[in-house]
Amino acid sequence: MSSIEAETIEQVAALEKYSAGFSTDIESDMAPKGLNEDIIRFISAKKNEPEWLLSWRLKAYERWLKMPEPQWGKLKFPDIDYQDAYYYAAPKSQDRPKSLDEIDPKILETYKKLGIPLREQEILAGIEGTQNAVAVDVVFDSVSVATTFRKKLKEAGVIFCSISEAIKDHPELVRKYMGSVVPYSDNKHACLNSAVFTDGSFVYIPEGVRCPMELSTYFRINQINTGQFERTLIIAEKGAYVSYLEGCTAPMRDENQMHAAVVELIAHEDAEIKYSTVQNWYPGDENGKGGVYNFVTKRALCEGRNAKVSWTQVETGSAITWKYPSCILKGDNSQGEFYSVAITNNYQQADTGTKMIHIGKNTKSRIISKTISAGHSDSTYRGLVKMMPAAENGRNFTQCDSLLIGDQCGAHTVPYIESKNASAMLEHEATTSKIGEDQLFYCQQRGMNEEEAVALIVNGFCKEVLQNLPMEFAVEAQKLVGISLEGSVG
Amino acid sequence: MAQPTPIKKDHKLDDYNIATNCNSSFNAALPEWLKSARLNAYTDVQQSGLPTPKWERFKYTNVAQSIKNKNLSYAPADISTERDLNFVTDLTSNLNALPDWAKSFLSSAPAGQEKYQDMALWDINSALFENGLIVNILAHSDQDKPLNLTIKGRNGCHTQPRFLINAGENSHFTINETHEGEGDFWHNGVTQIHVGKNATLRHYRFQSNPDNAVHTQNTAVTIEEGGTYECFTMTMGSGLSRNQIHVSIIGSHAECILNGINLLKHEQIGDTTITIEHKAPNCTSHQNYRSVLNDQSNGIFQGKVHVHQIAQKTDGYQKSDTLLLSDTAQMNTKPELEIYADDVKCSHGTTTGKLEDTPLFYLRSRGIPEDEARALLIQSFLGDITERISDEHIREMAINQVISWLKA
Repeated sequence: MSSIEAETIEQVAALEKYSAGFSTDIESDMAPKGLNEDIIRFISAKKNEPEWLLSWRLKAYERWLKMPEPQWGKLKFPDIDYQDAYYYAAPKSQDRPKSLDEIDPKILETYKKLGIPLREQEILAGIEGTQNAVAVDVVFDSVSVATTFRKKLKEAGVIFCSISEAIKDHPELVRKYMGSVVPYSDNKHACLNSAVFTDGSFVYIPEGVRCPMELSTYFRINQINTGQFERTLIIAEKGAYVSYLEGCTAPMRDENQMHAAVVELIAHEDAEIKYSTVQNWYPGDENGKGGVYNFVTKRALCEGRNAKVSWTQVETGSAITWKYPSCILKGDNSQGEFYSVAITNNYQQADTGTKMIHIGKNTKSRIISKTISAGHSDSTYRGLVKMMPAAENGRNFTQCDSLLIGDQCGAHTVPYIESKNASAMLEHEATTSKIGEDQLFYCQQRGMNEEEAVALIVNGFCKEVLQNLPMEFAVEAQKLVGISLEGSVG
Repeated sequence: MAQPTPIKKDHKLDDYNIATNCNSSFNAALPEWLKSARLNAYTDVQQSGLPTPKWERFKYTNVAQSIKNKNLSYAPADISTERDLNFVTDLTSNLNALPDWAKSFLSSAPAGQEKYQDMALWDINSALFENGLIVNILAHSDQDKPLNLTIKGRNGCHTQPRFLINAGENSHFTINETHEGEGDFWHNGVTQIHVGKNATLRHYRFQSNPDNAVHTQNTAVTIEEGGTYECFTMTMGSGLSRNQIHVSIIGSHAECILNGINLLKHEQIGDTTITIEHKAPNCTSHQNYRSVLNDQSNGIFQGKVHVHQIAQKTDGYQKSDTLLLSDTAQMNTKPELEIYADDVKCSHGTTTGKLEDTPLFYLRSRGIPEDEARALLIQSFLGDITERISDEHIREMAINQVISWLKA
């Protein structure tokens, strides 16, 4: 077993219940509570943004005021008081640190507790060779404080930086692509994000470049009562390839935290983007108190011929998950994939799924969704597959399986399947069941306790999705599956 | 049985405000409880208006638009039965002396109203219906011969027939409905069915209205312990048809089988919307629907299996398959599962596609002309549904209708 693997296991084991539930005390540069035009101007000014971006933010804000909350999700939560939150918080460090040593030891301490192998990067590179290295752009409470491996990426011509840096250094790219896949008026949460986003990642892979390493951002909500609104923009030019990992964790606290992110992916001709997420934000306690509200708008545009986008997500955290990573398959022969594991326990609610919009000829999409509900939780798969009239020979395969653990939870499937082209083939299947008594008995007979047996069986149930995760995530995700279901049996 | 009554011009269909003038249907001779039930339904429709695509369960079907464009007057439905049976009585003449079960049917809220708030079509029927049938199948009775009903639409009219059916304990019965008519009309029927303990009710529907007709049919079924309800619907007619079925399984070991074939062409819209509520353990529900869509037709299938927490050991199955024969036809499918019980086996599957090339090539290589080969393949595709019909006579009738549709 490699040291990383061992450490990952150790860390995850240490996550029992939610050991990530702590709050690091770092001085923050904060905007006053509430949301209004002045706050937006404040954020924009703080970040030295150009005029066009400020007016874009203000347009989004105006739209946001008029827009109703999306009501169609199968979610129950009290109305959000948008005025009772901080929209800007940045750690007080003006100069960018040159190396990890210069970073606030408290921050490093936080990561250590979380088990983010930031320090492991060099070791990783040493063991596995630079090809397998992972570059991390850490979003610590809204502002990137450390970016590693930048030099190596620069050699390859890859731009991987925070979105604020990108706005300064590559305004032409940001201006061209930001809002092109998810317009600021897309939905209420995307609108809010467009108005107040503070940071996020920007990735640009030039023509013909295969990104030399997996790119990774660890998001961390840290400041009490700060919503986090990050914006990710990934552009893969002709023939480029990139694999991007996103993993999140948040400290424990009582008040619900709102998180409204926007992720936009653009894949040009022959390009491929692989986007993986492991989300284990604080889900609230056993009684459903607290927890993060996760409203995310993720969308990919397969712009050119043969473009490919693959979404993989493992959703175990958050009190409320509202998330539909989608693909617009515009280029001929383009492909979209969506692999998802959503686990809800206690009083968690998840409404997640995907949209596959087939526009170009010979476009293909594949949806594999595995939902596990336990405790008093509710989880819903909600998806749309749409074949437009021009989508000759379009092909879709969808499989949604739900597993129920305990008799107080719910699992729901709400697929929309629309075909406007006769040559398109669409298949959809869904099942709902519980863990077989025989399987449980078999495992227990071999000396496992019930919890271990359930974790093993559930891992088998999700295997199809988990194996699509990059190595770095796969081990952690498997452990997470077990942890998320703790206390759901027996 | 009910003779065709003259067309009344007293309450006209007024765009969205369908029920505006229906006060005159609050006939003074009606019992008080019925008057108040009608008034409630009337108020509800006035508030909600007709269903539009903004309503989730009408997302793909614009009922309001298709009715709005018609200039229709109310007329009682033209219902005829093949033979007189003593347990089948006319609704109009018995409104003052209804049995208790029929009273509770008429005074209850539309099935699904509480959850979905979109039962305007049912409410319109409740506010306006003047005639229909009461079918009270006696307990332990086993009728060989089915009840054959013909419901005819009338040019320039909208009809609101109401059927109340009670299948007594241990009874076995078959109802066979044929819907037809001429010209421009709107049929808005409501059928309420109660299947008693260990009773079996087979219910077959053939709808071949003309292309400019609008056909909306609400069917609500409750099934008691050990009961079986089998329904087969063949939809070939109407410019717009909506066949909405709501089944509540309230007793254990009950079974519900819903099958259907939709054959659509020209600019027809065919909507099948099903909700099955499992409210008791150990029950089975099976839905099997197949559609063949030609020209610019538009097929809609929305099926929902809702398993309540008490309904452990439920076996729910749902399948919708569609063949698109033309590039301009479209299919919208929404198979839904809402499950709150863990010890269940529920699944659904849907497919949409064209006729496969390989079997077509196989048949043609054996000297069968392309048109014939296509017809054969479509027939076999639909054979999966027709062979599920347990009544032999009906099965044959369904196959013949498929063949004649394919020839046309």
